[in-house]
Amino acid sequence: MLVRNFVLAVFVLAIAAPVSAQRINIDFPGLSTRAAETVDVTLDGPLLRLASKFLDPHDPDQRDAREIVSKLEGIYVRSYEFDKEGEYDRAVVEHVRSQLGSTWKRIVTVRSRDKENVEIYVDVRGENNVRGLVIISAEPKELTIVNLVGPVDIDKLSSLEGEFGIPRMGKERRHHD
Amino acid sequence: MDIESDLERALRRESPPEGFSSRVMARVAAESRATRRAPWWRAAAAGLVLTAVAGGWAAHEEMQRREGERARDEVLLALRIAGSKVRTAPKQVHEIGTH
Repeated sequence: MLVRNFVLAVFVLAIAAPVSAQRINIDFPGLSTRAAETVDVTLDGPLLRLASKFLDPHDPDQRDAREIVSKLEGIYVRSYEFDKEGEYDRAVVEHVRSQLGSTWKRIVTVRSRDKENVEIYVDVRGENNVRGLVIISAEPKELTIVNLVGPVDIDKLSSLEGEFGIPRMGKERRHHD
Repeated sequence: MDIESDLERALRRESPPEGFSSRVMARVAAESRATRRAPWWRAAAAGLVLTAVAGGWAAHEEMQRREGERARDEVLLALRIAGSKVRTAPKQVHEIGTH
């Protein structure tokens, strides 16, 4: 009985490991308290399925979003906007990078001395089988980390027009009086 | 003691008293009316239960709708952010994105 349970546990872990490996820890509690504006999006399986039911298939952008979401297992976004430069530790970026294993490939690096530094990583399993995406965007006054878990169609993602007809929302303004 | 004559007397056919059948029929009708009409409190209780169930269902649907719309807005926001970052270097991304 004990051996059977052990084998079952190993089997479950073996199945779960590749999925959980794509999700990385992007939570840095100290950052949100210092940031003037914060975006915190955490959507996993059930919520994603629910969200896709509310995406309008007749709207071209929402239809594309729905298609992307239908394959994903998780969407995690943390974006922090600061009032002044240098309010976040660059080690945060390194901490995110350090979690990316050997299957992760950096596909984009944009470096600018005083503007936006962007790095895009994809988790490639097999031939061009993208199983996850991480975007790190570091600006002097803004830090954004995106983690998409599951098969990602990067072409479709980049072709999304961006506004979706919704106002710029979800950013939580924090006032430091 | 004559058993035969006793039995004969006991089993003798007798006519019912005057109005017996109409009294029986009236009583049967009254009882059936009483069983058909449920007490008012039963109807009220059933109404309350139905209202509570319908109300609970409507509230659950409304909560689901709000949660779904919120999740949808978060998906759109997240994809907007991701899409805008990916577009900063479209050429490089295109090379690996085409599969």
